[in-house]
Amino acid sequence: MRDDHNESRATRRQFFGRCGVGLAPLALASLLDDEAVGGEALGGTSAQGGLPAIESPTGARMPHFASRAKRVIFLYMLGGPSQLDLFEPKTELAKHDGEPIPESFLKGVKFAQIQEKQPRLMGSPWKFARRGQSGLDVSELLPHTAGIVDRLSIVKTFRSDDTNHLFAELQINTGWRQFGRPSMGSWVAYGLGSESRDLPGFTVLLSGMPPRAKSANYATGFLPSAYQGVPLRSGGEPILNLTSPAGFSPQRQRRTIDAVNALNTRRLEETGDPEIAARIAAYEMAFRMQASAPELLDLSGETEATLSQYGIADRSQPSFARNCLLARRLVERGVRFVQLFHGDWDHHSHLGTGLPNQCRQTDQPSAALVADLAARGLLDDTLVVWGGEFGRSSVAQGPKDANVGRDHNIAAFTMWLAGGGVKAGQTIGTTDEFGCAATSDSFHIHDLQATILHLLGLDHKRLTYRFQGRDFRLTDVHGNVIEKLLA
Amino acid sequence: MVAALNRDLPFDRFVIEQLAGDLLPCASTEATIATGFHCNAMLDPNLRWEAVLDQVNTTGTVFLGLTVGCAQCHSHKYDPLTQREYYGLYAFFDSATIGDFELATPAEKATRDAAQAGVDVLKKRRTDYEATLKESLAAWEQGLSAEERAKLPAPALAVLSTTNRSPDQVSQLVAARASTDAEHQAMSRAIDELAQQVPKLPATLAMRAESRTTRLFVRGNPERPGDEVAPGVPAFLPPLSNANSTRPTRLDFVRWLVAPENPLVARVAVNHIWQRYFGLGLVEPVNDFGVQTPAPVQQELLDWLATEFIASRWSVKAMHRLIVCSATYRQSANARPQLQAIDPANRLLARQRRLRVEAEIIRDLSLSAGGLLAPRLGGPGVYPYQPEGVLDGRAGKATWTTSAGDDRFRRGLYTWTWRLTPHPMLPLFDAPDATMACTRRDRSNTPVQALTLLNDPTFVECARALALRAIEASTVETETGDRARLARAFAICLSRQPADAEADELLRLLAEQRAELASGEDARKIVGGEGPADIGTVNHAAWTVVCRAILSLDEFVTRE
Repeated sequence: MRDDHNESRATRRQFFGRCGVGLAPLALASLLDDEAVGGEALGGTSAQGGLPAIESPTGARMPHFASRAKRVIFLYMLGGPSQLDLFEPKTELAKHDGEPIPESFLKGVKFAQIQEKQPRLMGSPWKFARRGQSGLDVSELLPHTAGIVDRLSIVKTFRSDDTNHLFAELQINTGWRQFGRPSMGSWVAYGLGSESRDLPGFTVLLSGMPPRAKSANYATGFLPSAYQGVPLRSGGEPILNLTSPAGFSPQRQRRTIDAVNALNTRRLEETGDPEIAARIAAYEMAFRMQASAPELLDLSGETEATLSQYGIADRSQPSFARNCLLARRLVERGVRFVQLFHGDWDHHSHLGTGLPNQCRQTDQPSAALVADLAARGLLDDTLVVWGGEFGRSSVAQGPKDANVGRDHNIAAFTMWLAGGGVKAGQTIGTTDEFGCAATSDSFHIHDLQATILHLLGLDHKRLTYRFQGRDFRLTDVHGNVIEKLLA
Repeated sequence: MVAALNRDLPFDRFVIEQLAGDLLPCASTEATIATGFHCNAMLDPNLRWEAVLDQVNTTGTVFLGLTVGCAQCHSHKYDPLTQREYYGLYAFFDSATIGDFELATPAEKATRDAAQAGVDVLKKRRTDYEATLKESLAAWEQGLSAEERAKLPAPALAVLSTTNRSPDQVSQLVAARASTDAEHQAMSRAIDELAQQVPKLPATLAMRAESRTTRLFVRGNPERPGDEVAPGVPAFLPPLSNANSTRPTRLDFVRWLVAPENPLVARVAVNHIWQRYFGLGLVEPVNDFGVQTPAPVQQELLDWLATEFIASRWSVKAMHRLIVCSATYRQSANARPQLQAIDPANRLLARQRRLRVEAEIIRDLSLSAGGLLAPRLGGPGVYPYQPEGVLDGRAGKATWTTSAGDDRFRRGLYTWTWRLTPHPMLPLFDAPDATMACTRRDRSNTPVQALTLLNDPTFVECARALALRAIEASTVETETGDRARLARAFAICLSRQPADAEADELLRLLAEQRAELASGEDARKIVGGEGPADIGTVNHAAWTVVCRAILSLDEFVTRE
């Protein structure tokens, strides 16, 4: 009996080793081996969904072609920042302030909340100036961003498909307007693995209001669990249960995890369930995080100059500013994809107070992050992206008093990109005189996704995963690389 | 709801009570409050339609397996459901109000009403008195000293200097006068005192019929009401029978829903149950039986289960029994090379599938393994241990005081939910957020989950308790005794005996830990004080280390 059992187990092991689904002991050994973080070229579309037999789900892998960026920091601005008050000065809009918007601008426009048949145009109450050597327009609300414009590509003509926050969030973060698809960070972690053995390859930092679609914005979907975005909490301990219980020294914790993994490995051989391999990897990562995360989160080594550059008043208090600094520390430690979520920019009302408030929280740290990465020589191969799920309308929502706001605009909105192979100090795309829609270079957010992958050395058409009989990709069946963005 | 499921209330009756229990002839309290679950949406009195839309969409998803919500703004892009038909469904739920339903005896209500009547009398007297204050306002104004003026609130002071006063401004003045009037203040104090004596009766949400004219929302916009729509059901389904009333009610609707002629409800229901046992529904996804979804590979099985369900008089327990006793359910979950090529998604069900259990159940299992679980049913929500900082940053008020006694060890089902800041273990292990109906949970697998299974104080407590249960298995302090103890722990946690290699691994851990823990303070820290005298602190601690490892195994949190 026992012999039979061992024989069948050996067969199964060979099988899983061959086809790469199971990660039997050999593969597992490499998963846990320092030296295995080597790199193996991505093989285009194979039967296994675009990847060769994965030895280690999280080890670093070679891209499709030479990459310009090795890692990404996505500063996700929840709710839709008002591009017309931040990056898009419109003299015509100011001139016609208070007048009903001409009907020709309303064709096919779907507002989220505005009910009026012909709402009124609203110029920006804030002053704009041309900044830096490149002379890009930035409003007075973003004085710090104004200081780094020479490092930015400001794209004014992104478009999206859904006026509903929830679905628009999903589309920009997963490429699809419903739940269930893998997020951008998961695709990248799947495509390139991670250069960090001690921290999750896709890490999420939250501050302010949580995203409407919650964890679906950084979920792994049908990709293997190991590529899940791991969120650090915005309140209390940033990582839940990072500390071992009383009486469990690191040695005792290590010994316990060894025993757990030994039994889990046995079970993996028995069952061939790849989830067990992911769980073994998760326990290893958990142990390493216990050692590495306190060091990551301990900002006592950061100079006062750095803290004040980011505008961090209290290093123990959670904030977008602290998260920006943590983002730099994460990429320094080899984390592949860091996504910050901060809200809420959804200024249907109280634009006059709400927008400056959001800018105060985000302008300085965002600019500091870019400058700090540059100073440390990291910006060349770190891509920084700033933007939200859509922009805001050129017409006023509500009577023009202290409470006035702007509705959504999905036809043309602004995002900026910096570093990682992006051309510096330029504007891309133009919009009509009121900023309602693009007049040149309209880009769908699938194009943004294709470009981010391209900069990372990944062809968005070849980064696929077979699920329920179909090859899926981040850009679904769309997306073109935005050539103008490339340096 | 737990009681209804436990006594195996027939599913058709269950659905009737959930959606329209309040409309049943001579509705019992149980039937009326059964509607409360369906009211449990984000309730905002200014956005009443949001709750109604949620009820319609949830009904469509959960019982009809249809993405009816797509027809809120326009006719469904794929399925035969027009926007008008959507609002026909909407009309059933529109003619209802969600409100508090008091759970009290007639005598309790009478006592309360009498006390409230007393308060109302005093309030009426105060209102009358305020009228006299208003009448004599001019005289009062003239008699105001400079000192008295200075004490008036700023807005009232501003009104004093105006001549052409609006009713609002007059009210402001009356309020200002009342705030300085001794008799008025005495009246208010008396009202407050008496009001505090009015007993507060426990109440829960329920639906109550209230007829309304329903209009379609043009492009789904509640602020653009369109044509009037009568309650009705989609034309592609069997017709509604409402012989008893001219205008069909919510009760007519739900009777139509669970009528045996309805082709969807029984199929959707058994598909949900199937999904719980096999990870995927026979129809996949379970919330969409629409034309976009591929026909099930096992169509006949689905049809048979649905007809069995109805034939068993909608017995949910019988359906569970039928499935778990089947050969298909009892198959091994191990992957088999030859199947991997033929049927990678296991649609043909040639094997079982391993499923990590849900967030609440992970904790339930650990509590149960430690013998700590308090299996009591029902009652108000409880507050088990949760880490600091969960409620930080909330705008609204919320508190969390850890429950006393064994309320800490109730099943996860009873853990209180703050919708915006749930217990952190729930989202960590993929429990959905409580804003809309969820028909399938994801199963993520992250390092932070591993940290929680290893380090969360609740699981350490369970490991200590499991250690004591295991140690009891033998009185022999030899390796034989330890093997028996390990066998007990395996039987409790994994329902099987350890393989030799597993036993060797864990007994090696045990021996090492006994040796290491013999000196120093760690043993006391691990057991949280002193172990029982007959067991000894070191022995208890060493077994706690071993049991914590067992509770962290993939197999422990996985249904195989």
